[in-house]
Amino acid sequence: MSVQAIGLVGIAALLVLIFARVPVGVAMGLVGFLGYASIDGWARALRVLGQTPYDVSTTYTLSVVPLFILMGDVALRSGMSAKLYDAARSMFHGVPGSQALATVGACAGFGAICGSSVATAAIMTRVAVPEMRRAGYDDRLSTGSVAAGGSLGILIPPSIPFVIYALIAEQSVSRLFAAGLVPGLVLTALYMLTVVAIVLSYPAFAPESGESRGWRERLVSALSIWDVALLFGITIGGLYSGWLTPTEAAAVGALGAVVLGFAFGELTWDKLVESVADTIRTTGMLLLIVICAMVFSYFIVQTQLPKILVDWAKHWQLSPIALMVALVVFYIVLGCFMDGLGMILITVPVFLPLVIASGFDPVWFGVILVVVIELGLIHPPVGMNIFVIQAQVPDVPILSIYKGILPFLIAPMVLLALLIAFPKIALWLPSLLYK
Amino acid sequence: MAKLESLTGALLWVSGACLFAIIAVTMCDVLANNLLKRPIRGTFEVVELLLVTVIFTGLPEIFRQQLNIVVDVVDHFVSPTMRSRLIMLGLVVTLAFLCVLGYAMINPALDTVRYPERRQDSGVRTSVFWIPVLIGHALCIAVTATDLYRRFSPSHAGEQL
Repeated sequence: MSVQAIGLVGIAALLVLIFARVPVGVAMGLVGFLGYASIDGWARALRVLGQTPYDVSTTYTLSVVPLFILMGDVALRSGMSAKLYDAARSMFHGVPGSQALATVGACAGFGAICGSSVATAAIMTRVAVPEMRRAGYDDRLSTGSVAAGGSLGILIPPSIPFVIYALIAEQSVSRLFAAGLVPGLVLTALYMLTVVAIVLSYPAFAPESGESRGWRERLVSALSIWDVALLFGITIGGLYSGWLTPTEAAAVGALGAVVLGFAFGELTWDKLVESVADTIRTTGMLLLIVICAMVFSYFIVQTQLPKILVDWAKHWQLSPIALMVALVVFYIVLGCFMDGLGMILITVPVFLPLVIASGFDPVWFGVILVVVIELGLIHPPVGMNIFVIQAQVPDVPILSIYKGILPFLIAPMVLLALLIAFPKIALWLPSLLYK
Repeated sequence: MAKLESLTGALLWVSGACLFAIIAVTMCDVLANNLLKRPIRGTFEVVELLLVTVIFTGLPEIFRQQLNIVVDVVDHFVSPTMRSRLIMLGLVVTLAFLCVLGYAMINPALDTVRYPERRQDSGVRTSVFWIPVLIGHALCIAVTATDLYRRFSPSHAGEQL
């Protein structure tokens, strides 16, 4: 059997195992090991399998993962999300659909200190949905805005998927964090436009009191979230300015979140212990998959499948744009069945050489990938954010949440089109900061 | 199982302590670098040692609580019995993989003892880095094997999985 055939059998076996409920990491590690052994022999395969956990888990760059997770988790338990929502609500008060706009804005703000979309969606459901229901908002608009806004958490830095992509694609975490900011802000604006469009089309979805708040009151509200701004400013500002490395920024952020949480928030010792335990569990889950994905990627390199894909694209004279559109469609379909991290770890070793050979910037591709993952988090049938919201508000039928999220799916599609047409949206800031 | 539970719980505390140690070491380095213009030598390597401890001493708890990421789309299409069988299959495959991985790690770990080396900046022996890896991994195997045994044992037959 040729190495390419072994590669294809390996990928098929991986998908079978994953869909047979074998843990994603275990499936990748096992297929990677067996595939590697069938190409290069058992002795070498055992050597690679035995050495990889040590090599990956002693990678200094990866230390940002638990630190940024801790920062987000502590911020979550300190009540920063509720303050953000109150401030955003005050800012948008009087505007049609103000509470849904505030939800999207608060999600974007929380995304700036928390790298997890699911956590952002979960906490914002608890904070914003009861308020919107009290104000008479339609459940479709309230849950749709939370699901969509929650997905911003992984695009706006800090972002865990960017760190994992950086490791697999051998890219700079700082450049990826810089590349995600402008698209994150554009997507926030697109989600807000979606809210406005919905409210203008169906005014009954968002009844408003009509009275507007004064600028002084808005300013006071904005100032009340100084701790969030400070945390983002020091960590991401320190990173962008080159004053801090990613690990240093993450350590400063985690410590800052703990100090601010104890001093000005609702953080208690018990909450901190819970936060640390959750951080360790999440870190372990992620990094176990990363370790196994590295074994799998060594196998993929042995199969020469990436090179064949490049040759195939050249043979068919596929234009770069057509190739990228095909990849995006593939990822959207894959996102119906697989979580984002699995998508990055399984597909990047296969597709990245093709993407680079077609002249695309790997940092830009990282942003495209994260936007597609965001889409996967909110599009039916298996959008994780949808299930998270449903678990928090079980009396809202899942069909209502599906209907609510549909108009919001247009925004990331538009962003993808913009990113493909104007790559500078993602690449402008990294090129400005890291010449 | 109770002993394993308390052991994984204790390791979780070790992991948490190492997480805060990463923060402390990194903060000291940031301050020394910015205030005294003298970075602390060996910080990177100490952080790497702490990171490997955070990961591997936290892993047994993940296996004990079965928190590994699983794609459960199939749940919507199969009967509860089939679902239980798939969960069992997942556990068996996981245990088999952990055993192979554990076996594969023995040689590289022993190499660091046979041919002792120290890290350049911190002077920490490379073999020390393997201690949390091996302890954590052994506990992952023990936890998964115990879970599998518990599910296969007649006293738990028919238990909701």
